[in-house]
This record gives sequence, structure tokens and C-alpha cells, in this order.
Amino acid sequence: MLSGEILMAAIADALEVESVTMEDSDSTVDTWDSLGQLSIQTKLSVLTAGASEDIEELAVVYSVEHIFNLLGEAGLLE
Amino acid sequence: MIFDFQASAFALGENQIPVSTICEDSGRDYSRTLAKAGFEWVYRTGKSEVDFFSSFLLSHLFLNPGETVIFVNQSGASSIPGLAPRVFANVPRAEHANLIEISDGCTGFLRAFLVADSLLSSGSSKAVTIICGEIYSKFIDNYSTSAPIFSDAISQIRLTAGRGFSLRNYGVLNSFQDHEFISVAGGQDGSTFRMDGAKVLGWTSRSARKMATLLLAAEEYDLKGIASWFFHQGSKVVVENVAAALGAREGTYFSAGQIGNTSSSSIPIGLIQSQSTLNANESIGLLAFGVGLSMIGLVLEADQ
Repeated sequence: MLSGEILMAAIADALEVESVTMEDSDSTVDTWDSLGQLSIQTKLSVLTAGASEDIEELAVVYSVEHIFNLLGEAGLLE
Repeated sequence: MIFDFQASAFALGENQIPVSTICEDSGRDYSRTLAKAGFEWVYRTGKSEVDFFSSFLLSHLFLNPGETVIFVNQSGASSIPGLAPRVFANVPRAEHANLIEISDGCTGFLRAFLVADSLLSSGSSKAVTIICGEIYSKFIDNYSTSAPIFSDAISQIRLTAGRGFSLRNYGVLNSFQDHEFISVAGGQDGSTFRMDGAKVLGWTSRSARKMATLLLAAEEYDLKGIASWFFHQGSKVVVENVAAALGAREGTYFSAGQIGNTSSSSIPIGLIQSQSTLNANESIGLLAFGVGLSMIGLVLEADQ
């Protein structure tokens, strides 16, 4: 299972920024565009050994908080 | 139906602009932009829709009595009458043309294609010419996120009745509540084109998976068995992601790096550029997505 700290760092890395907060979204981070969205999906897939790909709604969430919620509901987050 | 490529053509805006220059002018990271959108050049016209489209049609469109013309456009669709009467005013023999005007963006060619298939299959028309034309540049300045993406273009594909390809299956997916993800705020000239990249990628990715189910619903075949796919050339990252989500066989599906996103003309341009390699013995898939939001996919089977 992922720790919140690792997940936060992974999202920041995917978006090529130093850090993100729970309040961040595609409206607050310039690089959270199509490439950023795809990078997040790819990172999450690697970190969860592919399990995140079974969460269909994960493709259409655009905020850090929403990602945390979905991974938590799927039992992938500590 | 048969693709009559001898009577098919396209034209891009007369001004060829390096995307690197757009990025330099607007302080945008060119490498990242190229990795994302994939376009090295875009083309813009300084002409109006009427002038740009009319000059193309006068050179390329030959209307025969009893044939149908379907005109697809959104950028100039804000007046009464629609744009078609003004664009076709000086086209020879237009007075007898069964002219249908469709207001649609990136999915416009495939929407018109479905109408054309019905007209040809029923015998109502012996030939249908689909004209797609858009000038999105009037909504875009170099600081817009869409600046390194869109090109102005017009295309013409002529379809005739006969043994070539038959429509085997198609699917339509709409998400109209999300129409603002790709839109022009305020409505017309002087307004700004908005495209929300992350949301468009998310929507197309999820929709492509649903589309695969729709296209397979009534048939027992593998989408990987389709020899050639022609995708709307929205951007490199979206096209590659859609192809993977759809389950298309491994391949290179982004081909418009030197052309730009020409909206409804992108699939016609892809077909025209691939005409010599289109094998009449193989099935082909066409998939468009964009403004609406809408996604349309269809499979054409080669007549044996």
C-alpha cells in the first residue's frame, strides 16, 4: 500500500513541480494538462503494480484530494 | 461506397508558422509542448471563411446534377443564412446541389460520413462530397494554450456508390454536460478558444474504452484485426492514449506533426495522404473526438 507522502511526491514528480498540496488541481498547477494527467496515471500504475488501472474513475479526476479519495476507497492507500 | 480520391483534396492556411516560434514568443517550453501536442508547424490564414473556402472550392469542387454536398463548419456558423450559401455563392452548378450544412467540429467528418452512407446506400444520391472547413485561428492568439495546436484548413472527400467499403458498425458517445471543456467563451470573433487538456485527455481515454465496447457489441471480431485506424489528430498524447485505450493494434497513429490539428479535416487529410496504401481488401477504422463533447467511431469493411 502507498503512503500519503509517497503519493504526494509521485503526483508532484509527474507534474514536474517541487511539491503539491491537497488543495491542488488542474486549475492551480500549470503542468496539470494532458501530458501531466497522463504522467499521473502512469506513475500511479507503476506505484500500485497496475492496480490503479482498475479504478475507471481515476482517468477523470483532476485534483490531488480526489486522487487520494479514490485510492483510499480502493484500499491502495495507507 | 468508394473513396474517389481523384476528386478529393485539402488546403491549409497560407501562413506556415513554426511552433517553436509560438513557444518562444509566449514563454512556453517548446520541448514539453512538442512532447504533448506533437505539432512542429501550424498553418493560419489571414482570409475570411468565405474567401478561404470559396477559393478552394472554385479550384477543386466539380458539382454534378443530383449529387449531394455536405458542408461541415463551426467557426463561421453565426449568421442567417448559415455559412454555406455565402461560401457556395460562386461555385459553378451549385444552384442544383443538394447542400446539407452540419455545424460540428472534430467529429464533423464522421457525422457527415454517416449521412453520406445512408444517402448512397438508399440510392438517394450517386455521389456525396463532404467538405470540412474551419478557421479556428481567429479565436486564438499566441498566448492561448491552443496556439501550438490548431491549423486552419479545408478538405474535400468525394464518396460514390459502388463496391469498395461498407459500413460495418459505428458508435456515438456524447457528454454534452462537459461542452465547456472545448469551447469558445462568449461565442464568436474576438473570443478566446478554451481547451482543457487534462479533462479532454481523461474524457477521451474513458470514452475510447466505451467505444471499443460499442464497436464490438454487435460483432464478433477483434479491433486489433483492423488493418488501419484513422484517428482525429487532436494531439500526440491524446491520439496515442486513445489508440491504446481503444485496443488498436500497435502502430504509429499520430501523423499530423507537420500539419497541425485541423479539426474536422484531420481524418480526411489522413485518408488522402494514405490513399496509395489503403488496401481495399482490409477493414479500416475511423475515430474522431472533440467539441461537444462527442466521440464517433466507425468500422468500414472491404467489400469482397
